[in-house]
Amino acid sequence: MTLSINGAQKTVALAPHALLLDTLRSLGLTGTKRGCDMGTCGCCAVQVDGLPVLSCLLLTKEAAGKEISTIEGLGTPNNLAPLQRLFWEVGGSQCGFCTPGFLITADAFLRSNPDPTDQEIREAISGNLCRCTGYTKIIKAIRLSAKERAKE
Amino acid sequence: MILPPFLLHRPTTVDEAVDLAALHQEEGVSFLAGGTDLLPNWKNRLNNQPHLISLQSIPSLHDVESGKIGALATLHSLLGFSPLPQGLREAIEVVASPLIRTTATIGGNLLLDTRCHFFNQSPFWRATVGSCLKAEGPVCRVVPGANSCVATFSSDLAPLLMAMDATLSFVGPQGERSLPLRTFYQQDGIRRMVLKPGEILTTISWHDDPTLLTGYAKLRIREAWDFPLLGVGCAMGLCEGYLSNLSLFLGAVDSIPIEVPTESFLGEPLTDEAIEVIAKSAYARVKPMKNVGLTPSYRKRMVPVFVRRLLMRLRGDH
Ligand SMILES: Cc1cc2nc3c(=O)[nH]c(=O)nc-3n(C[C@H](O)[C@H](O)[C@H](O)COP(=O)(O)OP(=O)(O)OC[C@H]3O[C@@H](n4cnc5c(N)ncnc54)[C@H](O)[C@@H]3O)c2cc1C
Ligand code: SF4
Ligand code: FES
Ligand code: FES
Repeated sequence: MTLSINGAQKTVALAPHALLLDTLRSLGLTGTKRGCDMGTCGCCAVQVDGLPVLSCLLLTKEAAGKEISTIEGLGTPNNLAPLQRLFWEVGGSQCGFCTPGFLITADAFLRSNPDPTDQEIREAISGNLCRCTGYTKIIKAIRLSAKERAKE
Repeated sequence: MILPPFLLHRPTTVDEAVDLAALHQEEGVSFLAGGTDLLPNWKNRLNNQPHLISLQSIPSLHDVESGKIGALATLHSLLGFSPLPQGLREAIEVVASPLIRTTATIGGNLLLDTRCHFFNQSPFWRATVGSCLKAEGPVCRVVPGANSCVATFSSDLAPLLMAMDATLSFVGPQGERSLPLRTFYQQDGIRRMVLKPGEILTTISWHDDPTLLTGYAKLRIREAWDFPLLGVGCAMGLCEGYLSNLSLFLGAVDSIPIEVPTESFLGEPLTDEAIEVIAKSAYARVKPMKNVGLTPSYRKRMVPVFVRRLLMRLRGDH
């Protein structure tokens, strides 16, 4: 079957029970992480048709015909997306395991709510867990990104 | 955890889905909506079936109109729908997390499996402790010696939709039928409800009454993810200060939502004294089990507190 991932068509051979998380990682898109595998950590978040979803709870076949965006589509090490750069600058990422999930969630959120309050940011990322940062710097990075986007 | 193998079917009409279910009934079938309840359970090897029929590709099940919602509507999409009764909005906003609500559906929420510390565990965990009636064991681990299951009813939307007297519509091998949600659940943590084999929940509907006041209050440990440890759904009609309607249902304190009787207050003003009587009667009706978070006695003591606060809020106090 064919999947549309980060704007490119990929052909994959699949077992019927393959989860999107496993399919992406088997394609080498290992930026999407497996944390809990049970819907509680947000590390596996990707965007499907622009909405953040958990790829550990989504069968690959249900994403066929839709636009899948992963962290690899957001920016690259040499060309960071503004949100990624801000996470880096303010220290919103430490071990980094949760970071792709936060970035995917925050990117979708800022598109739907370009001028959020801190409370709205907290709610938006309430499905993502971070063991390291204590969240304040993540919230700061998202707030700064909203401000930057507003200036443009 | 890796999912066990199964065959995935993706019909595009309800009739096709019903036929597929009938065809594979003997081998074992489940329906898939958002999968946020079913897939974690299947990963834990709970209720696995060889056939999974996804309802995602059936367009008619996604239809949303005022007072009538297709079972496959996602919780996220409903938050963007107007007019949505305030209480339903409150209940949806506290289900799981925003990342789960983008795929979780309203139908799946009403059909959610009951939960218990001894059940929602990995096969390894269950094997160490000895499993239980609802999985593969001989006895209940919560009520020793019991031959029925008392797992906790954990849907946030059901108590509120029961208070609103919602109706469920189904299509199955025997055709269509509709049922009041209030008669749908069964006092048995394993069987749970009167859904017939191969039946598909198609719509959830209610009488659209803009004057009806609705609200939902939830007790949980964390403000995201957590299933309810108590949920209170209420629908209230107030006509110049007098009650024309009052329905109150408690979730997560039993295997089904529990109704608190309120008929004797109809036609009366909702005074502080009336609220106190209702809160006390709610307290007397529940016996939470030691099978989800927090202690049963704390959850029971929170029942009158949450009932009182919700009734006062709907009455217009702040
Ligand atoms: C981390 C986490 C936290 C959660 N927290 C909460 C919470 O706080 N409150 C809460 O209420 N829920 C919670 N849930 C459970 C779940 O996400 C929601 O209840 C959700 O709405 C279920 O919908 P679904 O579409 O994903 O159901 P599915 O998993 O697809 O289905 C659930 C069950 O219903 C059956 N089914 C679904 N649709 C139909 C249909 N149309 N016809 C016939 N059968 C059908 C399925 O076969 C399955 O048995 C949580 C889940 C997770 C993973
Ligand atoms: S209540 Fe008893 S039978 Fe039911 S899931 Fe818990 S331990 Fe098992
Ligand atoms: S890996 Fe999907 S939510 Fe944790
Ligand atoms: S940076 Fe380590 S888990 Fe978030």
